[in-house]
This record gives sequence, C-alpha cells and structure tokens, in this order.
Amino acid sequence: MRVDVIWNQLPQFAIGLGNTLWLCTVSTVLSLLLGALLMVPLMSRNTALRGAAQALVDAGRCIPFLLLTYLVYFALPTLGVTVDKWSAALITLVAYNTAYMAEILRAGWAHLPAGQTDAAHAFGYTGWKLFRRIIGPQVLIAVGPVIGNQLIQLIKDSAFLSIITVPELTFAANYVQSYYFVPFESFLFATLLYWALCGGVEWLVHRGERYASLVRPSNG
Amino acid sequence: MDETPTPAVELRSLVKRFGAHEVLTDIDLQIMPGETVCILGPSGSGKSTLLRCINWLERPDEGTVLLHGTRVGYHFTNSGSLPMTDRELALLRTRIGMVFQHFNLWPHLTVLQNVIESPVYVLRRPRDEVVAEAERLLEKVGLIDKRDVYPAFLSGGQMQRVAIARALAMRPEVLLFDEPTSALDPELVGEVLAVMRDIAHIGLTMIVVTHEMEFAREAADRIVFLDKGRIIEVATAEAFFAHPATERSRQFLERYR
Repeated sequence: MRVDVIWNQLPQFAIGLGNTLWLCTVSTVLSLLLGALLMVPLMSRNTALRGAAQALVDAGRCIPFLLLTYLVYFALPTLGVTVDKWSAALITLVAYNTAYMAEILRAGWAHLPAGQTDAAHAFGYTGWKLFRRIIGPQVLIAVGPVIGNQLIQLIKDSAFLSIITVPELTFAANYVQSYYFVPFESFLFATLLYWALCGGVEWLVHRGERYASLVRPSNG
Repeated sequence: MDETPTPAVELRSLVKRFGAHEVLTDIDLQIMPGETVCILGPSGSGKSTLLRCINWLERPDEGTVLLHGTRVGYHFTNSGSLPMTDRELALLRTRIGMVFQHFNLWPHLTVLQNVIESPVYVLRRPRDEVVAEAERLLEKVGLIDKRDVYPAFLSGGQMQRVAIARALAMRPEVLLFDEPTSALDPELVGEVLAVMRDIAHIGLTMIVVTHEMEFAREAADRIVFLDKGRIIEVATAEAFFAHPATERSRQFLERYR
C-alpha cells in the first residue's frame, strides 16, 4: 500500500472533495427551490398545464444522468450555445435533480390530509403564506428521508462529471492514480470519502427524523 | 327606522350542488348575534355542507351569504358584484372561527404555536399580546400544562379543546362547529361539550352541527332541522324537543330517545 502517495496528494483530494461538496450543496438547494416552484403547475387545477409539467418532470427523471451531461456539454454547442464545464456541471445537476425533487414534493403534498388545507383556509391562509407556514413544513417533514436518498444519488451521480473534466473528487482520484500508478489506493480513498459524505447525509436525515417523530401522529 | 338588528349570519336562497346532486335547496336562515344554533338532521342531509358554505370552504351555486351584513364571496363595485379574490376571501374568513370534526390541528406546531399561529401571521397582532391571550384560553380549556406539546401526543378530546382555543384566539364574530364530537371516543365527548357550554354562555354566536341531542337541548337557543338538503323546521330548543312540528323531526328524535 502506498499510503505515503495518498498522504502527499491530500491537497488534490481536498480540492476534489471541496468541489464535489459545493457542487452538490448548491445544486441541492437550487433543485429543491425549483422543484418547489414546479409544484405550482404540478398541483394546478388546469389539466393542460398539469400535464405539461408532469411530462417535463417525467422526461427529466427518465434520462440517464451521463447522457444529460453529454447533451449539455457536447450537444448544446452544436446549437450555438456554448457552456464551460462548471456551468455544464451545475446545469446538469440542477436540471436532473429538479425533476426528482418536484416529484418527491408533489407526492408529499398529495398525501397531506385535505383537512390541513381546510383548516388553513378557514384561518385566513392563502397563496404563498399558506405554503410557507402550513403546507411546506409538513411536506418537508413527510419527505425528508426521501430527499436524503435523492441527495445520496446526486452525490454519486456527480462522479460522472469527471468525464467532462470537472475537477471533482472522482476526477482527483483518477488524476492521482494515473500520475503515480496507485489505482487501488487512490480509488479506495475516494470511495472512503464518498462514504463519509453519504454518512453525513444519513446523519442529517436521522436528526430530522428525530424531530419528525415528535410530529407524526403514528406514535400515538 | 329599521329596529331589527343585523343578523350575525344570514343565508338567502342558498343552493349547493355536487355535480347533478343538489345537496342544499333554497336555504333561508337568519342567526342573530349571541345566538347558539344547533343544526340537526340525519347523516347526508347537508348539515356540514351548509356550515362550510358560510365561510365559503364550499362555494354555493346560488344564493347569498351575509356576515353581519357583509356579503361573503362577492363584493359590490360600480359595475356590479365581482367574485372576491383569494386574499379578500381569506381576510373575511378570519372573522369566522371554525372547529372541525377531525380537529385538523397543524401537527408541525406545538399546542401554543397552533393557537397563536393565525393571530400572529395572518392578523399580524403583536406576538406578546397573542401569547398572553393564548395562555388564558389554554387555561380555560384546561390544557395550559400541554402548551409545548405536539398534537400527536394528545388525546382526541384534548386536541379538540386545543382546536376550540385556536378558533377563539382569532376573536371571531361567529364560531362554526362541524360535528366536533363525532370523531371522539365516547368517554372524551363530555370534556369537549363542557368547554362548548362555557363558550355558549359568554354570548358568542355559535353554529353547531351535531348529533349530541343533550347538548342541543341544553345549550342551543334554536334548532334548525335539516332533511335532504332542505330546512324542514326551525324552532326554539324547548319547542323542538317537546313538540317537534313535523313527522320527519318526530321520527328523527325517536331514534335518539
């Protein structure tokens, strides 16, 4: 085992890990926000609007992540839209995960008891305030673990971005192994770091669940 | 001069349909300020729908709802009457309190937070003042020791008492009860009815859809008897229970004796 190489190359891994971390964090926040916005047409009473939004979401969910990356980075320029690798990485991550987040949030909202909205209406809530104070928090509590799962998926998918030379964690591992001929050590170390990242997400979900268990009627 | 006071709630020729089925037919009703009115009738007679039409949770297909003379759902302009926007409707609904069969407390908020939520975030009253009033109300319904507990940890009777405190915290002009004890275990009904009797005595206008005949007899000023979407009988509670005027109300009361 060439642990010394990994030790000496820690800065490379740190840069890769840092890039993976911020790409995933930013795209999670953005896709959650956009997913929440997409809920408006997804829950609309207008069937045409709802159908269009649902089609968009399904299309987004049913395209392989790698293929979407290729489309954004290699195919868009042939249409005259050039994007650098960072923008391509963010666009791909956000677009792909927005579709998932929208579907997750929609399902959570659809399962909310109708009485909750009734009570909110009767007490003067409407529009954004209804969503922010009454609906949104309950939907988030209900779907927290599912969002955690999606976040883990997103972290793993982000490894594909090494193919368009985004210097994230997998790219760093690949760089170190090919430069110093230490594939086992390098890829193993990267794997450990991914496990740590996902472990962090699991920990967050677990903390959220502790709060959610106070709130869910199922414990009665 | 017109000497009669304005009714707290007035329904004029109200009609409500679900698809082709007419659930409410030609409902005319006046409820005066301070009155407690119980709406009785067999299941499916349209009682809950009638109640939900008052705060527009169900939109009537025809007719008029007036709250202290203000029309609910429409407002008048120079060019005629226009449907209210969601915001206008929301504002009007804050004047009407509601207690639901299944409580519908907000599970992500504690007992106290449930009670202060709408006065603080919708009515925008000062938080300190609202908390003080909410604590008084929780004291009144006997649940001040549960102020920081989440609804999931309460019994049905406790949840319904919190729901009543939540409605009272809005300082409503009218309080609607939609079968408030129907979802409760029999041994928990009494504690909720006791709180409702207390409120009836302070002179709030109350409209109660219920199957609790004892409560109706003791607490109601008037009874409205509904059958198949029509008002068949309106009478003082005494008169209704002693001498029901119609065959249908007699049959109905038979089953509760």
